[in-house]
Amino acid sequence: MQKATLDAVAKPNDVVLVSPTGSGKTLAFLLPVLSLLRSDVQGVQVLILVPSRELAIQIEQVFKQMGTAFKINSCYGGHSVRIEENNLQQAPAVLVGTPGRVTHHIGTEALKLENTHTLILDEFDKSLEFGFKDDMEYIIQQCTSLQKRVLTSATALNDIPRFVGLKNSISLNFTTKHQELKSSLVLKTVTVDGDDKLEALLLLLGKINAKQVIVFCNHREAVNRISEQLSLLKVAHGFYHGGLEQIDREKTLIKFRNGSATILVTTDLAARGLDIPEVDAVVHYQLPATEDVMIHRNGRTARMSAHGTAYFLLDKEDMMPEFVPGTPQAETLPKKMQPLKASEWQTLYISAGKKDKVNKMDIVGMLLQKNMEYASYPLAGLTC
Amino acid sequence: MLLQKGQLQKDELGKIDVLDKSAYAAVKSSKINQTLQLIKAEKIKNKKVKIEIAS
Repeated sequence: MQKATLDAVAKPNDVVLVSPTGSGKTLAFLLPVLSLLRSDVQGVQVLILVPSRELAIQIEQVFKQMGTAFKINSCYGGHSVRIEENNLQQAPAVLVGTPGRVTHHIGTEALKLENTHTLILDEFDKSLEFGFKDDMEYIIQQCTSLQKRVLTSATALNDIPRFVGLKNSISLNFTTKHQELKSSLVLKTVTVDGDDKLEALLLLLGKINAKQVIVFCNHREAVNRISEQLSLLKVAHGFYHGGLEQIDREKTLIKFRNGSATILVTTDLAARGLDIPEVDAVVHYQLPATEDVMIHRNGRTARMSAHGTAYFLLDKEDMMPEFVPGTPQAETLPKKMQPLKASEWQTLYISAGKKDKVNKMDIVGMLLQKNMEYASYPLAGLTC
Repeated sequence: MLLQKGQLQKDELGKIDVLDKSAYAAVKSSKINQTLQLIKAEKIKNKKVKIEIAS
């Protein structure tokens, strides 16, 4: 898939890439972009638009890990406008952002897109949805010298709006051909006896003893409710949805990614794009409304070549949606709650960051044994 | 600059994230209290910082 994408992007055409979750789309579009970047051009050359803030952060980190000479910045709601404006004064070669904040920077003239030759819409079926449409149309209009458009997602969109300006596009669709890739994902149903879905969730979590598990709900209220009840029962977990302060959103994901939290209760905000390799189970606490939602939720597990299980929690009123493929196995619950393992990791908070000129090595240096060489710390796995 | 005060082995220190105004470091649960005692009075870049177990 990455090879085919590389070849397609190298041609002068626009590209629409639809490829399964966890198949490495981010690298598939970032790698060929490198060859399009020129060091003698000022201003933002490549603009990447994403439908969620944390996706912008993740793509920025992946690009930085690639270790190129080119600068990348991210801008997204809830982040400091001032820091972003400072970053934009020396415009990065690559900018990744959410539509709302990018529109803001265009409005204040902090951001100019007249030299942008490549536009990437990641999770394009989401970012071209109703709520983002006006901002997207406005932003694309500002990119006056656009030569290439790359659209990617795991689920396609029937009608791509005209304002995207696709021409001579090559469509790459790997979702049917590579279905065997996803045989690493097992679907199971859990029937809830009586009306205590939360108890069923706890019994399930105790039984499966997942390394990391994401519990999906349809509404923020349900996330809050479950989270409160888990807290009462002293079950360590993180909760995540669009109603939280940005710093809490980031903190929750940091703790989930570094293994300090093993259970994440969330809305579909976490359903798209987030790459957390250790997640070996997802739970549909509330059933997904559409097939696309299910695909993205399920896609948080069984990433790349890893295995994973998706559980559908069904109470008396729940009907298994018709779009669920095959016949999921029934998982039976134990009568008694089994204690959940405490996490191996915890997180230290330090009240200084990039603005204080603190970097990762400062923290490594402070925490590791005195007789250890900096060089022996495995830096490759770290993100900046 | 900084001293290596935390006395962690490298497999006891996990992922580190540095944000604009804060940083987060994963430490093995079995070591975190000891580490915190060792470094809580440390300065970073000559600045006193607050260090605590993230809620």
